[in-house]
Amino acid sequence: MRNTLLPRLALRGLYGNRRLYLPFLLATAFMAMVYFVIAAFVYNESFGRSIPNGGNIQILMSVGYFLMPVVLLPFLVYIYSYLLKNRSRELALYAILGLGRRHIAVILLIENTLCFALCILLGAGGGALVCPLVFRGLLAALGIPSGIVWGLSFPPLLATVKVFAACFAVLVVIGVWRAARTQPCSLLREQTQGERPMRGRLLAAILGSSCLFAAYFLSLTSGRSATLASFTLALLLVILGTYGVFTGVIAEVLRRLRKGPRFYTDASEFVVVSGLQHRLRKNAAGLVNICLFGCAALFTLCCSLCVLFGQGAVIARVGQTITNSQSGINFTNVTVEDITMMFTTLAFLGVFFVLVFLACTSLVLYYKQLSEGMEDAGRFRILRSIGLSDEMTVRTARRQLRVVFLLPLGGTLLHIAFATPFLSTFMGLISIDTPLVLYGSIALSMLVFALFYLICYQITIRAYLRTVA
Amino acid sequence: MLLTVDGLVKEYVTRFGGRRVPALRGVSFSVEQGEFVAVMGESGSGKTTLLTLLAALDRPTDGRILLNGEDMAAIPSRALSAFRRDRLGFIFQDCNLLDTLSLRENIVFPLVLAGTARSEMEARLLPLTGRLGITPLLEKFPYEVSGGERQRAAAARALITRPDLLLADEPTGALDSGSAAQLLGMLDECNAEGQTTVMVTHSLDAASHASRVLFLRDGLIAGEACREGLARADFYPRLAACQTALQQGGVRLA
Repeated sequence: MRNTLLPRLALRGLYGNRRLYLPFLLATAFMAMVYFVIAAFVYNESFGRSIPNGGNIQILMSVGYFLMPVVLLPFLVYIYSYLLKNRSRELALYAILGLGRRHIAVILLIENTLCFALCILLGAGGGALVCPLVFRGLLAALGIPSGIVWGLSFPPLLATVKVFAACFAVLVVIGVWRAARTQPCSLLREQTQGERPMRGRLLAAILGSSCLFAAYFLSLTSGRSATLASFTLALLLVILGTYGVFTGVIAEVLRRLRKGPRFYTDASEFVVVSGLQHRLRKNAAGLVNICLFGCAALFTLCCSLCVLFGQGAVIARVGQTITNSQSGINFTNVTVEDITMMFTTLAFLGVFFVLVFLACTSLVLYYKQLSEGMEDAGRFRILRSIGLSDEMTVRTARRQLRVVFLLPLGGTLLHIAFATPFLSTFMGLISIDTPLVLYGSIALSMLVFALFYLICYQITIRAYLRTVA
Repeated sequence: MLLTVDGLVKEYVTRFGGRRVPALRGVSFSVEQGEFVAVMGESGSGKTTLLTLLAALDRPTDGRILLNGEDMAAIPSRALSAFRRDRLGFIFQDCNLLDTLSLRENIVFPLVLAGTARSEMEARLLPLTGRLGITPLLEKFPYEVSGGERQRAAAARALITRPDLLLADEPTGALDSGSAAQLLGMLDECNAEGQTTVMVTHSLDAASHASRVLFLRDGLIAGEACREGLARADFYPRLAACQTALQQGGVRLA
């Protein structure tokens, strides 16, 4: 009896929270798939031998191979703590019903093992299906006739299993640590607790905006002569600045609005401003993360598009140089094939990462709206019982959500706009320096990103209004 | 007659299988201007359903509710929220104050919705909160004050619109005895000044503050007791006797 109880509880925990776990599973499986594909390139031995420059492609791919876990882990940890927070009540109930911490640890272990198994199954399965397509696409882009057979092998699967097993192990540790640290009673209360007014709002506002200004200044002044060091510094400043601005400046603006003359005369403003203030006090970090993930996605997208649109001109120029130099001394052993290979592989890697970052962004957005929708539903129920009309409820909910959505999007677009000098320097390193390509790519990337974001917004607002109204 | 309830029936249809479950099976009573009526009943007797219908938060299956001679069913759903806001005041068991608003903002919220001028808000707010003893707490948030203070703020929110009818749903349900006594005393005072009140409760003590008590059982009014100028201490045992009698069989009491 006791042997089957914990697994059953774990299964029920997953199934009962399927609205939370399904997107989580899909996203992790998607990442496992991307990782599997990259690993498949890195580990395929015949690939290096059978196609020209295959070895170099593998070296470039291995950059992604090592970078991805670094991106993956913080993101998974962030999402998982979101999941846990939403389940705190359930875990507290288990503790009250008499399950010890060890039992809860076992439940979490079983749950995560199941998630891990599904993630690998879907991810590696999908990866195995997608791999030949990606391979053929890469060959076609490189202009190599596809006659080479793509053989699947065991090492990529092993690599994916290793990385994701490590990630899920970290999640279990975090879950157990959190469950052990909290008292059941306080867990039960967690969802209804009020929040203290934020201290140091003004300090955060000043520090945040100075960081942001410094970062923008750095980008604008040192842009052309930018180094990796100055870029890293600007990146750090932007991260700190975004936190400061979102927690400080916006909170201060809302506080002013609350003291302003319109607050008491416009019912919609009354509800929206107080609601937003509550949101930001409670979860400004969520908005900042959405903004930063968006930045990562958009920056990578810009780079990929630049490479995609710029490679033609560069290849032509290199071809010209090589032809010219053939009469004289051959000072370089770079061939047109080398350049094409590099660019195409970079663009491919870029697209992989864009997809991963977009998945991260939309998942964080989804969870944020889902958990806040549940909380706001209670607020709007009270508002309606006092006399807020249905029409007004929908209008107010929309208005509040619009601000919550547009803030990170605006931040992302602004950051990327100011990152243009850096982008131009990086692209200059690989000889892409046509302004039209550069600015066209940035504009197109912003458009694509904004469109993607707005589609997410439409999907979420529908789910949100269903919970609220 | 301020409020007339005539043959009120409410049936809920279960989600699966479509079985009809009656919550109210023909309730009729009326409330005069300035009366303080309590509706008593066990859990499941239909108390909350009755109050939900009186509050126009739901539509009855059959029967009519007239407020000042106006049929609630005739109000288009678009105008219902304005009707609720302007004519009715509510006190809920769990206060239903918004955590995102300070007590001051919570209390004036119905006036903001109605588009009342700022000066008028202040003019109504301070006398009310002064009487309820929560003026020093106005800038605090609901989670910073005690349960009794929260409930008094909720009462202030209900009264600030000067409603025709005050509806209270187990207002003392979540309070300690001291806070409960204070809140009921406040309801008495308001009633003495002419505030018509309907309160739903299962507490004999709370009901003994009313001028008339209706006993609800299984969706029907099973009995009625009038205070007729009795002191509260004398009314209480009478109510207790009524309740005991009703539990043995539906006796109609004068």
